[in-house]
Amino acid sequence: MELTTEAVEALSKAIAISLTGFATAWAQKVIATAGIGAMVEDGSIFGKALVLTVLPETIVIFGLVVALLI
Amino acid sequence: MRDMYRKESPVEVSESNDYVEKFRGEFDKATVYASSLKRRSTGSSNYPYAVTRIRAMKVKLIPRDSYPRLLNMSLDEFIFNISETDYRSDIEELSREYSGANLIEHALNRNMATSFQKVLRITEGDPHGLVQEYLKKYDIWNIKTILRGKLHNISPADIREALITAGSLRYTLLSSLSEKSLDEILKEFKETEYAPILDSFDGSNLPEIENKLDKFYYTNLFSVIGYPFTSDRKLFNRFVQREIDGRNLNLLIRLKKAESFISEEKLAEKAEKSESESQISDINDLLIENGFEFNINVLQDLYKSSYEQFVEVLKSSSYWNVLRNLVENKDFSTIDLTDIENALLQFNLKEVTSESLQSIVSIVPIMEYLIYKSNEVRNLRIIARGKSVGMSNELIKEQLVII
Repeated sequence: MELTTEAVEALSKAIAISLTGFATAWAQKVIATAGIGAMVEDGSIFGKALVLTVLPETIVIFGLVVALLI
Repeated sequence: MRDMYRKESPVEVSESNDYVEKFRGEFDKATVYASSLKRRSTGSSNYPYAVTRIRAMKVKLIPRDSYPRLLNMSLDEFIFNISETDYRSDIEELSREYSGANLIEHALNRNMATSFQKVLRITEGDPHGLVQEYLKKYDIWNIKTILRGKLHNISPADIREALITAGSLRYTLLSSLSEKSLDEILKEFKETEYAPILDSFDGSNLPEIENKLDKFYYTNLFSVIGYPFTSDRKLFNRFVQREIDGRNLNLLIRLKKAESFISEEKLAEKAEKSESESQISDINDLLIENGFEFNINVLQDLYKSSYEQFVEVLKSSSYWNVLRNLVENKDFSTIDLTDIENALLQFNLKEVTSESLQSIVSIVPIMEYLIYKSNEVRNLRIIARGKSVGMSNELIKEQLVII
């Protein structure tokens, strides 16, 4: 099976999206559990915890941008 | 009592032979138990959740700015203000039985026990096991309280009032023990880790038993920590060692101060009998091994040394900065024990805070909460008791450790 330019391009896009996706998921897991821990004691910080939880989304957005540029 | 040990399988105990070899002696049975506990408490830890939640709990502690305001209040105002904080439910529930300083004392003890049990519920895996083992200091406290109470014919109700159920022994068990006779109590402990020590209790050697229980607590704690491979265990190990240093230094200074009041005649008599050897064996029973900066040999030398030598050794330690003003240009008879005790406690609190800022996600923030909470309870108890006996605000303030 020949590894064509199109195949390498598709593989690169897949790597960019999947690795950044995993990184985002891991970061969100840690931040969300910490946020929940803090919210149990002080419910007023829900907004701050939510903002912090979605911040790692930027990682996967960067991955998406890289994939589109490839 | 047996239920506590139900999960131990014979296989786990037989696998722990390395510990038995290492700590052969009267603590053998206890060490086997500790090593099996170590196996049970392994597993994934939930640091992000636990540490953030416990940090949020620490924020709720009474801030340092509130203490001057609390000091200026009457006892009733003080109780009213405390009942507006996290202690509300404890004070409300206990107000039917107690009043005044007694009410505060019981509410504080109960709240501290509840908070520490909450920390245990929040943590998982390795930190859970370490915290659980650390909180056994309250089991030791409760056993000592019950034995002392029974020995001096204190009523079960009064004994129960002094219990702090923050350890692994439940209130129902301790409460039932307070109703029993000394023999029955010792029988209840037959199958526990404390049996080897309590078996030697004959009714006349309580101080000796108390010292053995304290030593056993730390031996057990270090056997659970094992060789500190992980950074977390290293941090926990250092925390315990600092605590031991504070305890040993307090004890040493207390002993030297007490000795300075003994008449010269008695000292000469003592010296004639067996030189300093008897003193060393005495102090060996009291000192806890494995301190951070002061090992047992240094402490023995310090015990034999003069005040000037004592100060010289202190100068080379990290405790010097906090003790400098309290020990310079003084001698053992003129130093203030409360000031030194408070300075060492303050030093430990500051050290833990600084380590907690360096190791943000570790066991240190958890331990930080535990000692800050116990310090808050200590402070509030001093204020309540001080107010109830009419102490001046300045005198009460001197006893407090405010960070």
